[in-house]
Amino acid sequence: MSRWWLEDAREDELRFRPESLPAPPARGRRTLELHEDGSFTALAPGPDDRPKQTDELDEFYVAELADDQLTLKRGPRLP
Amino acid sequence: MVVHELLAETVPGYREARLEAEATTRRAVAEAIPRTTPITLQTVVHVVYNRDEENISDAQIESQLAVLNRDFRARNEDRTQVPDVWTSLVADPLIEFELIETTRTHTDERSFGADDSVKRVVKPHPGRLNVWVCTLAGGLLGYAQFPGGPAKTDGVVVLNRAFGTTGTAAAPFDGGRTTVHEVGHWLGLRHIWGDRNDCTGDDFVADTPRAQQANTGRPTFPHITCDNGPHGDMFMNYMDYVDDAAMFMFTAGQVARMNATLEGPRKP
Repeated sequence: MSRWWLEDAREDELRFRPESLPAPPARGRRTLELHEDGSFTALAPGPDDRPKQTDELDEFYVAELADDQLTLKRGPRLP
Repeated sequence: MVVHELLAETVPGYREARLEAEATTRRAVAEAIPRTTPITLQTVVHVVYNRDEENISDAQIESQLAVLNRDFRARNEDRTQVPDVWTSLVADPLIEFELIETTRTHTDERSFGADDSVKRVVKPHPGRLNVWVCTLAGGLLGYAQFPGGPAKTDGVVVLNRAFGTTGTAAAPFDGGRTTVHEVGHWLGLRHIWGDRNDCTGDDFVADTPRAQQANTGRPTFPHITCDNGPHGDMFMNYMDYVDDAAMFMFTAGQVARMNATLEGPRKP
C-alpha cells in the first residue's frame, strides 16, 4: 500500500503526489491509500482533524499512475 | 482504520466514556449558569524534534500562548471583520492559558502520523492541557482528542510550522489559529459544517448556520450553501478550515459548549 496527497483538484480530475515528496501544509487536505490490487481508499479530515475514510471519491477511478503522480478521473470504477 | 474507531474497538470503555462525556456536556449546556470569571488552563508544551530547526524557540511557544490568551478572551483585533449580521454572536470564552512547562525531546523519527505515536515519545502530564509540537506527515496541520478519550493520549498535536506566529511558523498558517482550532476540539467543539458534506451535519451548536462542507483559503462573504442565505456559511469561525487570517470568532453557543465541557468531562 502506498500513500498519496492531493496536490490539485478540478471538477473531474484530481492529481496526487506520493508521500515521499513533501506535502505543503494544508487545512483539510485529502489523501489516498493505493492498494496493491489497484483499489484505493480516500481519506478526508474527520471530526477531530485526523484523516478518516470518506466516500467522497467513490465516483473516481485511477486514470494514470507514475512514480511521482497519480491521477483520478471522474467515472465508474471497474466492477 | 482511523484512530477513534481503533480506540472504540481496543480501549475498554472508550465508546461509553465518549458517549457519557457528550451526554454530560449537553446536560451542562442546558443547565449551565454562564461563567463570569476567567478560568485558567495549565498548559504543557512538548516539543519533539528530529532536526535542530524543529526544536522551536521559547519565543515561538510564547507567541502561541499569546494567541490562545487573546482569542479565547475575544480580544483579537480582527474580530472587527466579523460581518455585521453576526457581531452580536461573538462571545468571550473566558478561558486563559498558563504555560507551566516546556519539554524538549529529540527523536529519530523524521515525521509523525495522526496515530498518537508522538504521544508515546513523551507522555502527557495528567490534568493539564498537553500540546505536542512536531513535524507531521502529509501536510497535516494538527489533530485533537475529544473529551472522554484515554488519559494517556489526551491533548492536541500541532505541526511545528503552524505553531505560534514567529520562528518556523509559515504562511498562511502563521497566525496561531491551528492551535486555537485544535483546543476548540479538545473542549468539545465540532466543525462548523458538522462533518457531513450533504447539509445534514450538526455541530451541536444552535447559533452556527448549517453549511455544506469545509471552507478553505480566504472566502468572500457571503458564501451560501444549504439554503442558508442570505448570510451563508459562518466561514470566519475558528472551527472552519479557512486560513489563519480569515478566522476570528467563537459564537455564544460554542462558548456555552466549551464551558459545559469544563464543568463536566474536563472539570479541573
